[in-house]
Amino acid sequence: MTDQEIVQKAYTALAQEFELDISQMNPETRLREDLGLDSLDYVDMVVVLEQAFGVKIGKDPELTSVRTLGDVHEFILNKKRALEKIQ
Amino acid sequence: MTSADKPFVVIGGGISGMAAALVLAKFGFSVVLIEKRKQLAPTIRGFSRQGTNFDTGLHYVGGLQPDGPLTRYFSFLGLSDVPFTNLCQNCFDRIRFADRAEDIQLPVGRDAIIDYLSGIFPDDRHFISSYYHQIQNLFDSSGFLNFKGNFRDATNAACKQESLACVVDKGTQNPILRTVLSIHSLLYGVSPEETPFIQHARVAGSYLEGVKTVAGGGKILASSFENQLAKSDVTCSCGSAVTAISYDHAGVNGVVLEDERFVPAAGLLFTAHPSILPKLLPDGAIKPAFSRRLLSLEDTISSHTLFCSCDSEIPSVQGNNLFVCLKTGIYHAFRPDCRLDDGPFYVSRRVPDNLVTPMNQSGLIIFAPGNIREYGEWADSKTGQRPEAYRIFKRRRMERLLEIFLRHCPEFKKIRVLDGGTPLTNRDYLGAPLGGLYGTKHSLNQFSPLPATKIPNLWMAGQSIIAPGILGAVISAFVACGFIVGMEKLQAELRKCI
Repeated sequence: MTDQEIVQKAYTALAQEFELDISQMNPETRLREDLGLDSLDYVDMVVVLEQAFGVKIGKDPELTSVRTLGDVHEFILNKKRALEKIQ
Repeated sequence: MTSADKPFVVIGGGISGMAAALVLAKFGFSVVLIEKRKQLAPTIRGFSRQGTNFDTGLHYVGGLQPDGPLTRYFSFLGLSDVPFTNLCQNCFDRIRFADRAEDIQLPVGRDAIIDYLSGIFPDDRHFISSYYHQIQNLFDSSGFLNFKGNFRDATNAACKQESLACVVDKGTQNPILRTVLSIHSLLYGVSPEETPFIQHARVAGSYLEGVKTVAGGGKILASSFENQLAKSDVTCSCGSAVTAISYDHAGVNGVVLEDERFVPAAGLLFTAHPSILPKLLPDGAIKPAFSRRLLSLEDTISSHTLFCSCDSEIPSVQGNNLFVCLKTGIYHAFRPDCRLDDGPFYVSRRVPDNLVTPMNQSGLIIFAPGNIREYGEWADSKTGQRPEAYRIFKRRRMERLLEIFLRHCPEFKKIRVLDGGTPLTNRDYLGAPLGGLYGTKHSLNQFSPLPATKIPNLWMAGQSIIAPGILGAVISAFVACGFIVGMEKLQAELRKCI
């Protein structure tokens, strides 16, 4: 899966699961201010991403620094690179 | 009807729901408590067969020392009259291993346990001491268990945590000791491999002090709750389940019952199994992500159960519980392919009380692991109306359980089996859609739901929310009520209770 495909998949999953308008989603979009996702939604977001990509994210301390959709991509791509390294 | 006139509705008349109803009533709310079964507290009330009483929800609890957390919560709830009685101080838990001649007999009290286990496992004495001190420290660090601190965020969502298995396996190579130090995971139904050590400590830590049971069993606790609910003017509605939650832009505004009654609600506390909530809410009330998460939570362990009677005393369950480990280690018990033949078994007998429960009416319960998947083909059947094939399968399972159990515990040969239970029985009697004994898992691998939801006047409590067991259910009720009435206010009131 290319990085672009990963980003697209993440957008599609988040749009569907949080009933968001995908045309309004870009790397600068802020989760809290623009999408209205609060701390209660963060946990659901992790589960959505885990199910979309079939990876275990769990209770990752790095999640606390995720603020924008761009941060979400970066987080997933880092996870992917880490997994590739192991394999 | 204005919102000020509407009652606060609590769904689920178990320990959590009853405790929350009492707390809310104490803070001036008019409360309607709704239980789908015919009576409140169906799980802890237990049942009787041929004059023998069985406890299905209450076997033993900790934290009941004079300044213990449960003592304080019960005192706040007006339940100080419950006749708690000590388990045997020298041995509240007896642990038997198939390949070890002598049973391990755990005494009450942290230092007593450390001394006892250090005598048996002298090479591991440093680890034993550090293990129990860690348990005590983590237990005391919770604001819900130690009232010197503050009620704090219960999620720990952002911290990486070690599992119980990780701590125990790093600490000792001895397979028997590893089993002894993780045996209490059976009391919350999650494998040591996925239980955060801090979660284990906050459950197992309660068994270091004030280990008791109720003389006369869970039904006595149930009637204490009922008396208090009546005194507090809580309206209890039993025998009709909630079939829908009514919702508008401002939040929940009422619930619809099976008998078609509509109960208006200023707010709602949901204490049933989390997977039931999305099915009651109208489309659009919660995001698909939240709904999917609640529906996909994994359940705690299920069981096969033998309900037996015995006319005489059996010293190995005299004021104590008995764990029977057929293999060393207990991780296998939590795997989906667990086999009845591999155990472990948990045995509990109601402490006889000559006034309330004579010896021959004091039921003995034997639990063995079970998985509801094994019963998949009968999933649509209801209790009392199961097909013959199920009954034959169940009978074979029960006979097998008894045979293996007696092989390792021959002193029980005079017991008479009066009834049996499977994971399907648990499902139908405990309101547990997958037969789990303690709600959904508190696990490193999943996020437990929180008391607050995105709907401003909808909260959650119960074993699946903060912690399992009676203590966990009570705490989850207090935390949810803390959100509703104000955490500081509730804590201040609790601190006044001793």
